[in-house]
Amino acid sequence: MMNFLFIMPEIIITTSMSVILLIDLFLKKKNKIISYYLIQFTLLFLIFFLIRNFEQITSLNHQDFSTDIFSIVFKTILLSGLIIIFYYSYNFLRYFKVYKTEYFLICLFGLLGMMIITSAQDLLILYLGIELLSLSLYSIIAYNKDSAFSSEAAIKYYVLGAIASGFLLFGISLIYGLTGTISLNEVFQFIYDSGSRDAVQNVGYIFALTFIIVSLGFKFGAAPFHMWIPDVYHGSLLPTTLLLSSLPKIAVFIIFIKLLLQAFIGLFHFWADMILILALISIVIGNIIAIVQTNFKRMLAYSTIANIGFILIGISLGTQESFTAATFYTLSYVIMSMAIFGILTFITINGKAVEEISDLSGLNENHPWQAFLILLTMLSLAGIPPLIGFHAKLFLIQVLVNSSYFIIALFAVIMTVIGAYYYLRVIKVIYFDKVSTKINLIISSLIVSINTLLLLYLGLFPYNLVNLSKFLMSGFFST
Amino acid sequence: MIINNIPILTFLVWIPIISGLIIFFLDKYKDRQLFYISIFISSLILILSLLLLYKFNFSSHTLQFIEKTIWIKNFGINYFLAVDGISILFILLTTITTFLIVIFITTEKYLQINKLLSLFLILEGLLIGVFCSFDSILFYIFFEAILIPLFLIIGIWGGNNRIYATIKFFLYTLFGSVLMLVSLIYLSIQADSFSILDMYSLNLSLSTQIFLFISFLIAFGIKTPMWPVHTWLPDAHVEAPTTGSVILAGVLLKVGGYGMIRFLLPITTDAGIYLNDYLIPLSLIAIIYISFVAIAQQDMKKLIAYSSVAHMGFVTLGIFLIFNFLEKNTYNQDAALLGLQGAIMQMLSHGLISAALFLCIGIIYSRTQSKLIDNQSGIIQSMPIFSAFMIFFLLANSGLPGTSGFVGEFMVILASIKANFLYAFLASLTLVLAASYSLWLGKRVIFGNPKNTLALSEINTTEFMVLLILVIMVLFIGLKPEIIMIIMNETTTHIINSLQKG
Repeated sequence: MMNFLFIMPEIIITTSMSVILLIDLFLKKKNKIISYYLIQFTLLFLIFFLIRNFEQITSLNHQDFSTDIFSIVFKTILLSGLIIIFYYSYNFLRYFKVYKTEYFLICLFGLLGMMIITSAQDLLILYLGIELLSLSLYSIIAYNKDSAFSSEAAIKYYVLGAIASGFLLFGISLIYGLTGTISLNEVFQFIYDSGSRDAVQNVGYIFALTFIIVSLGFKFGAAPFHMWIPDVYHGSLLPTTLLLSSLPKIAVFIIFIKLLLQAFIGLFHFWADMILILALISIVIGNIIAIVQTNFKRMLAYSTIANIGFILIGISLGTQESFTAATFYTLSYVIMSMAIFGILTFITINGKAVEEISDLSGLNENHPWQAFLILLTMLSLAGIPPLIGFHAKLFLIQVLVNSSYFIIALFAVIMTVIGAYYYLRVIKVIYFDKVSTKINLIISSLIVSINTLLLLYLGLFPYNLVNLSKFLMSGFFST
Repeated sequence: MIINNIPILTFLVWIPIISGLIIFFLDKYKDRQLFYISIFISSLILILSLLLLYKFNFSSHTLQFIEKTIWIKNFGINYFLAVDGISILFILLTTITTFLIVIFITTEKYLQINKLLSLFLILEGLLIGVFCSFDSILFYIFFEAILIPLFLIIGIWGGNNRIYATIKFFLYTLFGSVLMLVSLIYLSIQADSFSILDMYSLNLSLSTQIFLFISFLIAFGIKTPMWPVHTWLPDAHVEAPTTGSVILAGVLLKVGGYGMIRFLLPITTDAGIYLNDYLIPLSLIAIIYISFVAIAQQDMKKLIAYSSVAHMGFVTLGIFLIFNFLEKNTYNQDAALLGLQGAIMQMLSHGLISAALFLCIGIIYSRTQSKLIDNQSGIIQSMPIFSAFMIFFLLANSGLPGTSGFVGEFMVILASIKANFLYAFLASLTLVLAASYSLWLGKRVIFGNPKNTLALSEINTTEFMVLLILVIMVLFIGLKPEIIMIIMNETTTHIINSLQKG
């Protein structure tokens, strides 16, 4: 009998989604909280399940669907991230009376896609995971159906996303044509064995890589494929933005690792420059355009683009240290992003959600603790010590200097200074401006405080997170 | 004795930071309670730092009170605190200044007083951290974290144009420090360690050293500030609240000079010798040109701010002269030592005098609600005691013998005579220029016919005591500079000696 344990988490999610969907149909409107708790319970149970059966699962490696430590750790991170995101989102959606259980169920589909991505060992399965993630993101972006912005963003993202998926498929088929296989390891082996290639083959690989990287750049939100990010962040509900800015970034980062590191590391000379160019353009565009934004979500969208640029720098160097630094950066960025959007979901301005930066003016006077939390996240994003954002940048710059990329290191730090300006502007509004709006808090913010103080804690003791990143990357470089 | 076992430097750094963070959220307490708490903490830190001085072994140049543990294992970053003869002086300067500031705050009216007090305590801890960290990343973290409280102090309690000033201040210093970060990372990779001491023994090529030198010079030059990157300072000073200006001029600017002595001097010595001809003119421009700029100012705070830039020019001159004396054909070890000690002396003295002058301006401002010179006149009529204090500090600012202002300038000028008569001549112009802007300020503000018909109230006991403490210290250093010399002599000699070998 075949052992299904290795794919059990995915099966559990799919089944429980169906069951919760059914149960939810019979619940009265005021009892919908039950399905929320059921979803949270499912996620908690999955974490427990993964940890409990850790050894058994990791021993059952399937050819196309690996369940090694790498994927298990990332799955645990994704699951725990989603629990926190659901907690933030639930309160927000309930407060604005737009809560439907389907919202979370669609997110769970996205989670399923991300979990498949972490385990995929095969270009096709990877593609399936990406599509599942993208489709669920399309629908939750359109969830805010009363807003014209939301529909515009959803259509924009959908059309462009579909094209990007097409590009990815095209690239994959080219790779299949060139290597005759879609398994990541076999592709790696083929490229490794073929050694010196003739010019025609090289052109083929470059062609395929270009399509794949364009598509991934789009999914990641790297400039010049970034145009959807500001619109989508702006148009969708805060919980959607919260989700979009955090976990899918981890997922896309994993795709980068799987494709570039696991399969195409032999083609390093071809993709390194492409990624580096994307990285530099992203950092410039993100940091400079963010300066003129007045909408908080749009500003954070451009800040995301800039941060993605930093992650891509790490990827483009292609060494173990650089990938470790990029992993560290991604994880810390996700924590920061969850913190800032988490805080925003708790704040209402004259009974509405936060939109403009100036909505928060004088937050310090009536809500000093929340103001302090935003201060911490902003400083962390700006890379000021002793917060985690500083160590993320430090690690990356260390790698750059170590590889003698002095110019890029200088470029990166100068861009950090430019970036600091728009983060400071938020602090300025919160601390130095007079109160102009009526600011209320939806509920008390214990979890979000812990999330934000984590930035400080990890900034003072980054040891464990560094070790985790090192550990996650070590598997790819051991051979 | 129990004192030998406590990690005194850790206490000095973290007690103010942690208690400051707690006070930050004590919104509901009465002002008076908050004052007592903060005064208690800052005096505790002052006592601890005096204890440090008491236990300090003056006859050794090695690091003392070493606390070293692994902090971030993967990066090889250590939590490495220690003091030598130079850092201990700056730690004392920090603790004394903060103590005086906390006392002085009680006489002024501020909104959200708990936050102001807490930020000053946090700033104190961070500054002590800068002066006693010997791990470069730890140093950098404290160096950069200083920006946060000061950014808030100027931004929340500053004047009308505070936001422009505080953001300018933040971005200027951040720009300098990120360049330094890249250099520190480069050095750490070369030395395979983040410890500053390990960086001293590196053999770097001249071209590498020049790049490192320039990045350090930008970082510390902005902080010091040197001409032409000084423009953030007048803005920051004018907009900052009185106490913010005091800590800025009193201690924060010294971080730049301290950093130069710690990094620029020992690590990039060859580059310094090579670039020497371009460096000394920078300091001389700061001394002369900025003095003229100071004369033309209409705003009292701006005048003292420019005077700070000019006085800090002596600090950089003293440091850059060392490079001059290390050159083979003009080698002179005693003169180099004189330059270094003069620079440190000048930093300490300027820390006290400019702090006192900003306090004086704050006192005037609290009574006349104006910082413009034209709006003041004849203050001596209603505030004779205060006027005596202010005249004393203005004289000290212009380098009157017997005050601390004289000692540092004299030592640096003495060193520059040995280098080049022209340098000495130009540097000593400051004695005339500083006297003219200081005394002219005194003439216009303190003397003359009183403009305001209502009489200004004389300084109260607290203000009197704060100023008196500063007077005593200025006179003490001016009359007995040997005390400071004893503390720093071994360390400075060691630094100069080790430069000679390198």
